[in-house]
Amino acid sequence: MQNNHQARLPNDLFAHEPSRNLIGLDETKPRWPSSEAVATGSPGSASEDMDDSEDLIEDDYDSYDELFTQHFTNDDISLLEGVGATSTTRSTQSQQVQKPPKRFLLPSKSSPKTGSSNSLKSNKEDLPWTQRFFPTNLEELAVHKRKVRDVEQWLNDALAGRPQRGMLVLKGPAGSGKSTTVTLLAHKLRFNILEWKSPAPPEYAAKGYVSLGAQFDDFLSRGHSFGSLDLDGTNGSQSPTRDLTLPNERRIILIEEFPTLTGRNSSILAAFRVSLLRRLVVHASHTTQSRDREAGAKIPPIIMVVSETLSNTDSSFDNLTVHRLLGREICNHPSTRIIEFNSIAPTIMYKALDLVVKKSAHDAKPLASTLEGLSRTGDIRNAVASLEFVCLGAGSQRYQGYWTSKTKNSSRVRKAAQMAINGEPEMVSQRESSLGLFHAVGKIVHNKRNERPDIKQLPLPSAPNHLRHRNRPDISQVNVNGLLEEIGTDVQSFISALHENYVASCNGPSFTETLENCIGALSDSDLLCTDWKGVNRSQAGFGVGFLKPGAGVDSLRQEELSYHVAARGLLFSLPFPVNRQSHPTDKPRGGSISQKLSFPPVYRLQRHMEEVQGALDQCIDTLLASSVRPTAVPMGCLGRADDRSEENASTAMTVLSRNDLLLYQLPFMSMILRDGAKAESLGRITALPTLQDRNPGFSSQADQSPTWESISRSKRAPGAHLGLGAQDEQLILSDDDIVDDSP
Amino acid sequence: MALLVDKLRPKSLDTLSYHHELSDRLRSLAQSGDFPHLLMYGPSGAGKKTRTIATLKELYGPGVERIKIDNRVFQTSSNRKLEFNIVSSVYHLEITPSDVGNYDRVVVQELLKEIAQTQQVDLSAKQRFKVVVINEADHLSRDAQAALRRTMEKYSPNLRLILLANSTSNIIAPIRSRTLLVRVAAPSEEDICAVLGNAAKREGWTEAPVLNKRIAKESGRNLRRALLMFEAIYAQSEKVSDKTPIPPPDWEALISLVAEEILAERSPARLLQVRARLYDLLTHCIPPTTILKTLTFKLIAKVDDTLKPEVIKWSAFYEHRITQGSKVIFHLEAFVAKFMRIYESYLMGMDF
Repeated sequence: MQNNHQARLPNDLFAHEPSRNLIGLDETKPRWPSSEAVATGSPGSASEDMDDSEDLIEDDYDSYDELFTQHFTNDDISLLEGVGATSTTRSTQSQQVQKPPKRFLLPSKSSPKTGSSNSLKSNKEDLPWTQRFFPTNLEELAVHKRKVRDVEQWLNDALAGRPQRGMLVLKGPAGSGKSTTVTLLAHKLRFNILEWKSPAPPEYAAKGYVSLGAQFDDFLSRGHSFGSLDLDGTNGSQSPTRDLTLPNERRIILIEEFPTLTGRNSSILAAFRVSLLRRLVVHASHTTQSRDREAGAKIPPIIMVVSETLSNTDSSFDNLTVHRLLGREICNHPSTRIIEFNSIAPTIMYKALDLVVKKSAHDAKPLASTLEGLSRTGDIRNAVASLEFVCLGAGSQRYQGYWTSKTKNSSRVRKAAQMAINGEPEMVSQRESSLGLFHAVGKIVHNKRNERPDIKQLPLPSAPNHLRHRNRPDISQVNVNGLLEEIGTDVQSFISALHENYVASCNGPSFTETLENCIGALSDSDLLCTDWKGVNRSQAGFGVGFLKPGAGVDSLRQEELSYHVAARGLLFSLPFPVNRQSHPTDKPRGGSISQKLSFPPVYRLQRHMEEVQGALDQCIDTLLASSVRPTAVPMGCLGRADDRSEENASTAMTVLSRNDLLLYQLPFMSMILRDGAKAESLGRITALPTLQDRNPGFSSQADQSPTWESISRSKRAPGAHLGLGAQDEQLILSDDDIVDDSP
Repeated sequence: MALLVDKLRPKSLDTLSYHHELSDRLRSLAQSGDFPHLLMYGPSGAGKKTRTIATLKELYGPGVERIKIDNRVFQTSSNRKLEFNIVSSVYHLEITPSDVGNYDRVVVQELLKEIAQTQQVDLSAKQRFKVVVINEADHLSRDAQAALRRTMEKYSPNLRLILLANSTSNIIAPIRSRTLLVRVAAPSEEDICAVLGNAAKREGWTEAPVLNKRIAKESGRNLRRALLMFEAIYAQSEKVSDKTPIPPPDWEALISLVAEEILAERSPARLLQVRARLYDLLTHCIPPTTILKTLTFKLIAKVDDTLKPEVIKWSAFYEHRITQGSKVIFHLEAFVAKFMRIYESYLMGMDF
């Protein structure tokens, strides 16, 4: 905005004006700062600064309508104001000369990397680091190369018009670079992004009210033909490249905002799905029928970016998963491809953070260990923000531990810093919730007790004889009441985490008793909790969290009871001292395996279960449909059906109960069909991965005859299974396990 | 491709191959013109559904076999939409209200009222009423059953119900008293062998009488399962002899594996391993009560007689908890731990 202030100086500076304009032209400004600048400055400049119009020329136009309106106001002014005509006409002339190139130059000023002029820098300073040091090319992108390649290949195929490339769903946790990948690929593959923006909900009473679902449908069906009108620049943040010179068909539709989330009403969700499905069908038929596609008639593919939350709340509304959002039909549609992004691996993240530090050219360099600590979060947006926070605080005393200043580089300071790191490196880097959770779980499963109390003290009364086995002479150090405040998550997640981790603590001479008492306590605690009863039953529709209404205070109290039963029960039953032994499936890796705590796998399992359930639903539907077709009768001859019945009454189909189908019919059907696509889809439901990975040491398969073993083994595809070892490993939250493909 | 089970399903009361007396009774019921509400009960795979369809055919003629599938949407009071499949012909329709879980009352009420209020339009129809077949009636909630009871009284001129259930114990007394109870017993092993022999003859497969007997035993006298096993065996191996093994479904194989593992070693590590398997079963939508039940039976087959009552007791205890609680895995694991303890004490010669 320095230019603006210059321009408000009296008009005798006109002599300099053309040259300044030229400078302004040469500036290659990124869209980032410009959007910021306009957002803050343009309303004022458009309304109050009418009189000195040269000011407006200097503004980097962000949106096209702004450009036009300002252009028109300039013209109006120049026509109306006879007095200042000399000055304004000159400026408009200069503008008219510059205008065409300026308009077409706009898109190409894209990469923030090239921006190096002073004014630019001053603008960029204002931005948070996540935006300032946005990755400028694919090399800087902190996503695993293979993932990027997958996406790129899909996009290439889709843009080339191959069939079955209707929709790409990118899912993964927040901050794993999904949107960034799309943005950068847009730059590389040269296509435009057309993004759905949920409009503000209009008033119902307003004339011409269109529901959100209808609007979305409209967007999907017509968006591709009138796409260029959408270039209003409001989503400039998502797409640094908007190349107007690109032909129309090189365009994709990006959906990051889901209309469903603005209202919980299921009708909107249904409308959303129907629109997408219709769109997929149109796309499929289009690509298969007209191989010779003419330009403009092509339907752009859809990319959907879903941040799947693994939040700790049990309310299924907050837990957005792809399956819940899209439903089985869309998920299993042949044109849909789902690519899952993992959290960013620490090694890749470290490089990215290092790059950011280099780019920032900040005086204070953070310590390597700080960067390492930050790298472990897996969320790059969060990590960069934390990094900025650390670096900004470099001057103050409090965060001395995190950086090494260039000025005070003495060894003493560094040593002090190192110590601070060892103390509490999580202070800014870790997410609070998980810290609290593991902290609390650790306290319980390690079951610290005071050693024998002093003899001088009053001896505690011991239990009577018949309860001798319940005697616990050592007093627990854990403050159970206080711990409730620190668990950092809701009670049920905490109990799940306890369940996940208590087993390793149960080693000891009487482990069966310990185990049984512990799990007994957990089982008791589960009975006491109120929520989502009936939701998880196999028969109830899945994923429709139906909380009992009016539970309010009662449920809070019961949660607490449930917590106390679980925590105190475990503390009571666990041996003292606890000897956390690693279980044998652990690979020896690093030093302290036994200290490892795992996160409850419920959410991942739940997702898997949803997939199976979806496949099952679809299977039921197709079974029903296929059995009906031969006997289906057109509506006209309902009554006269009797006469020609016998020959085509092949199957008298009835509905099979779901359990029967799942437990008996489908497994045997998959054995009967054996190969082919249908059997494969059945196998997804019926085949159990851990069955194939037997531990040879324990399989005393005496009565299970070996022939059936060999048959079943030969039948199944090799390598398609996920062994027990692998699965067990996955349940452990350690930094190597978060991503399966760290380089 | 039609499975043997569907291909060989008898279409009329005459072709049913066992329980001839019952078939005769059903026939005379259908011909009497005064058809009551029926409650057919019996174990699964005994032929309840087949008999029902055959009876319907006896009632209405072959038009019953012309079915179509409607996908109906119901709206609940809390504005949730329920999708629901209905298989129907002109004369009857078949629903499985337990598919919609807690909302079955809405479905039962709305649907039955709608049907009952419209009379049979087809003048040539043999009967003035329509029949509604309700599958898994014993899974209906109490609310739904109460609603059903009212409907049965109110709309009896236009509507007959056939309820199918595994046992009458979950059906409320008012409904039991308003229906004619028809028990369909499971076929005897000889019946099953005969059916399998017939099937082999029809398909031109080599017969293996001993294998058939084994299948009949293995299937637990469930004809449906027996036919599926039978076909699976023939599909998998070219040469079928009396000794061909019967493949269990994957989930069952996994549960028996779990049982063996528990018996082989008891340790915290083993418990973790078992937990992973249980998770695997659960994610494949195997109902937890089925898991517990199967596991119990696999276990007690291999333990000493003195342990059996105790094992059964705890199994029942934790099955109850599964239906009461919400975190299924806790209770399954608790049962496993309990069993480990009982078994360990037994091995050590201690009291448990």
